[in-house]
Amino acid sequence: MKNALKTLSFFRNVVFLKWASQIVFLVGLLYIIWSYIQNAVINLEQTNIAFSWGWLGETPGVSIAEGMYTLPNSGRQMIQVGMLNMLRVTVTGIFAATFLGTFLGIARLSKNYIVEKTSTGLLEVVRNVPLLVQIFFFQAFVLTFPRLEVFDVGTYYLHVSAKGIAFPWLNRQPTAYLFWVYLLAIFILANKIYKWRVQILEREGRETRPFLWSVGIFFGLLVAGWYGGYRVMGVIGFLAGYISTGVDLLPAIFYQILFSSIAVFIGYRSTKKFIDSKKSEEAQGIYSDDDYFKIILNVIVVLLVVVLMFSSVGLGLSNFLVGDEIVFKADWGVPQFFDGVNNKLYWNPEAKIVLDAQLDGMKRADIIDWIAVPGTEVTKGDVIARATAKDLKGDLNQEISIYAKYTGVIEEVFVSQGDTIKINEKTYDIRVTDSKPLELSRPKIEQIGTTKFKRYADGFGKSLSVGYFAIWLGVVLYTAIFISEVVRAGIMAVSKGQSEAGLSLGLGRGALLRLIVLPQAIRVMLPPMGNQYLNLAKNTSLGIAVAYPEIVAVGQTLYNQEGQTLPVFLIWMAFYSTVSLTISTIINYYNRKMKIVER
Amino acid sequence: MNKKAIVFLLVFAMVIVACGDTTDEAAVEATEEEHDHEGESTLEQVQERGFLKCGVSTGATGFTEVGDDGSYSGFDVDYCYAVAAAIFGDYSKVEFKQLTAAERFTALSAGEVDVLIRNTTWTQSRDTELGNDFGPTTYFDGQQLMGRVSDGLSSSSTLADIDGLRVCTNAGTTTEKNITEGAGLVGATIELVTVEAFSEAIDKFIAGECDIVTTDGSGLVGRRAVNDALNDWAIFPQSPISKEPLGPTYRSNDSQWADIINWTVYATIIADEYGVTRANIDSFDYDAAPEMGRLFGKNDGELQTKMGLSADAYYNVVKQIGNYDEIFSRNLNPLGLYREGGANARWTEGGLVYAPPAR
Repeated sequence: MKNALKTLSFFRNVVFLKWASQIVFLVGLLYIIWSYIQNAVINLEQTNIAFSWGWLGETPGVSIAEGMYTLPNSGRQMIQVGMLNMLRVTVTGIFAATFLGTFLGIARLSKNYIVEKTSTGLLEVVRNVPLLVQIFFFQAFVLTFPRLEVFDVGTYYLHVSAKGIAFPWLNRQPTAYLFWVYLLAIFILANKIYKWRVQILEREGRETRPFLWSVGIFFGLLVAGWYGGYRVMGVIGFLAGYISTGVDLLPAIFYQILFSSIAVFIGYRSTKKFIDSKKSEEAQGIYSDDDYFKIILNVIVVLLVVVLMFSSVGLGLSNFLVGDEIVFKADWGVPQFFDGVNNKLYWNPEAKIVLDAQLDGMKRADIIDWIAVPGTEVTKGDVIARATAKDLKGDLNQEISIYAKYTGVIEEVFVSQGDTIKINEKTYDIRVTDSKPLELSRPKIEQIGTTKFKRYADGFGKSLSVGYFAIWLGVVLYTAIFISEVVRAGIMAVSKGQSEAGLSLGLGRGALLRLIVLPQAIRVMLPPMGNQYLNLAKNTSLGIAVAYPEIVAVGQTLYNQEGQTLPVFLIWMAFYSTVSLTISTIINYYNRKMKIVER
Repeated sequence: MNKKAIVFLLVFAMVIVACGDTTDEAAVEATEEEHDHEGESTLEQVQERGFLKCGVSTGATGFTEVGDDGSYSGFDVDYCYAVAAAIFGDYSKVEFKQLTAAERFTALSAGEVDVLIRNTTWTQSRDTELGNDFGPTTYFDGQQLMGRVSDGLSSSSTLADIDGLRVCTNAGTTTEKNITEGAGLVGATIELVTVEAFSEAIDKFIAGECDIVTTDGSGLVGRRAVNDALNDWAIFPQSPISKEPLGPTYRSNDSQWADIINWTVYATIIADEYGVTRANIDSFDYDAAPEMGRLFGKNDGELQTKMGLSADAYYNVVKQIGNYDEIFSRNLNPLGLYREGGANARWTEGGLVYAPPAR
């Protein structure tokens, strides 16, 4: 067989033909795509609009109503704000829609006449009205409320006006990030303890109370954490600080070499593994032509990666990782990442402040002199500390003063990223906190400066803008209705025999639902649930209709200012694909986890 | 079997590659055809089609208004009619296309409209980056803000008074940039809410979601007149925060088409300078004013035929639509916008409305 093959000329070799046809196919496909892109570029040139990404680095000079930065310094930052605003609706919306949908789904199965009919009625109304109409309705509904007037000034539990909706909320304090990491850590710990107790139960057969153990330890640590225990997590920030300083020294070539080495290593290992597998008794060290092709392809891919890493593409990527702000004013590099972690999770919050991005190049400041100490009283505007602002890259130092933002007795001093930092005035916010990570507060209506206008004060309770409220409620209600149908279908898909079998084994109703019905129902529910989440994510783009600045609205503003329609469309497509694929990956992961374990 | 599959694959791949080539050729041919089509000038396309496609606003009081019967009227609309009158001798041969501020330039460059007469501001970036050219300014406007008198605002308020306020405007306009820049210069931080159409901004302003609204002064005056709030709403600051020269916009590098549009506007202005109106156009003594005679094709030396139009093209414009003053007074005087004393007065009276000589 082998000899027979060898005598054939290469163009009659089956293996060669097989591979060649595939490669030709691939090249042809790439060529078609390439020619279409070229066509578009040429056509754009004919309309006198040259395709360019340069606008990502230019200052758009347009304010955004809400988001991380309301006055973005580059097109890239503006896009980023739009993306975060979209994710804000999507992520909170998915959780809210799941809870509401599950509740409605169970209500639909209720034997209580009123409950069942009410949820069915809601379903029919919401399902049969277009989402856009619903969103407009919610907006119009809020706008029917009166404007904020002089007599509205004060504190409320719930307040609705034409300016939005405000309600009490747990607002995060400077230490909130530490607390959240702590919460995650003790959650994982409690989970481990549960598994450990179950293991003992299975091994020794005695009652170990795994649930009681894990919940008890979780709440014990939670209380300890709330009153300051969370600060042990500061060690992460402490380490991140050192890593940041370390990686800051690395040149771009390091990442080029690193990625090339990784590619070579992976290529080498997989090839070696392949060769080793051929040495087994079964394969007897015989290589077919197919196998040679595989090895050659492996080498080609590795070489391609190495070449790419040392081309302009790889250099750009490495510069980006180093944190050089040459690419579209991006400050997302590895040092900046660890620096950010260090700032959010600092082990000793008294010693450090973060400067706003408006201070060009200045990233952080070290306090050199505390003028106010805990226990003293300050009024707004008092100098509390002096610090040196440092350039992340160089030794440029600049002395700055830190002023108090609020009047009050200092219990403990935390410095955090300010709300209104202006370089010329050198004023920085200092927060006087009682060191709780989260603080429950009620919404407050205040006067804007010396004008007669009123608004919901920042940092008191939570106030939702009309646009945010309308789009959020719109997508949540609409998706929840479809999820309720999924939940109902899931529960009904579990055959009655399963429940009866469980009951005959002596399970209680709770245990029956938890151990028999739900695990089987979730298996049916997960794939359609994922589709609903995808719908929710995509429907957030309707926010543009109610002036909510999500990615589509922001992108449209940008291409109107810059004239670059095609790049903005590409960004939209890439972003929505990324979000959708991420959601489906998560759903698929749970789907695999929930699958019946086959032995 | 296996061989068959391979042969099939090979043939398939070849077909695909061949298709790739043909599609590419087709694309090239298509672009060539488009070239041919583009080689056919905009004027020829319009004449062949039999009507003009004119991009107008979705609603700007005094500039583009749609009546209950679907008829269009307004300052910008009249200039669309004027261009149609110049090309066809019949002002009614216009198809209007209402465009939002955000979609107007895409519509123009995609060829959905032949000309954009949609209170569009002439700026450097729009002229260079967006692939447009701008015709003569028909209305000199400027951005202003509008707030309630009951909120302590008056016509003497300034940008410094809006610190911390929520401002509404429409997306895809120069107003977004102007207000951001203007507020930044005086150190005021504003919350800028951008909506699709300016009428939504007014709705939000009336409901109280927005504290103030901002757009071109003419738009604000128009809205204030429509909402009958002359004494309740104040327009400020007194000198506009920006220059907003509004005029027709067309695709760049189309000089014949540009000439037609430009001279349609100039013809209305020159007619105004000579005092030629719809009423006296036939009784006017053209021998005494040779420039007017040339422009209207009444005597020798007319240049319209060289532009691809009929000799009496601009006669038809003034006969059917009127001169600049007539267009202005008809549409904008009812709103309280007058030429006297402003930038839109005749150049001989201290204004900026000026046309190059027709000779």
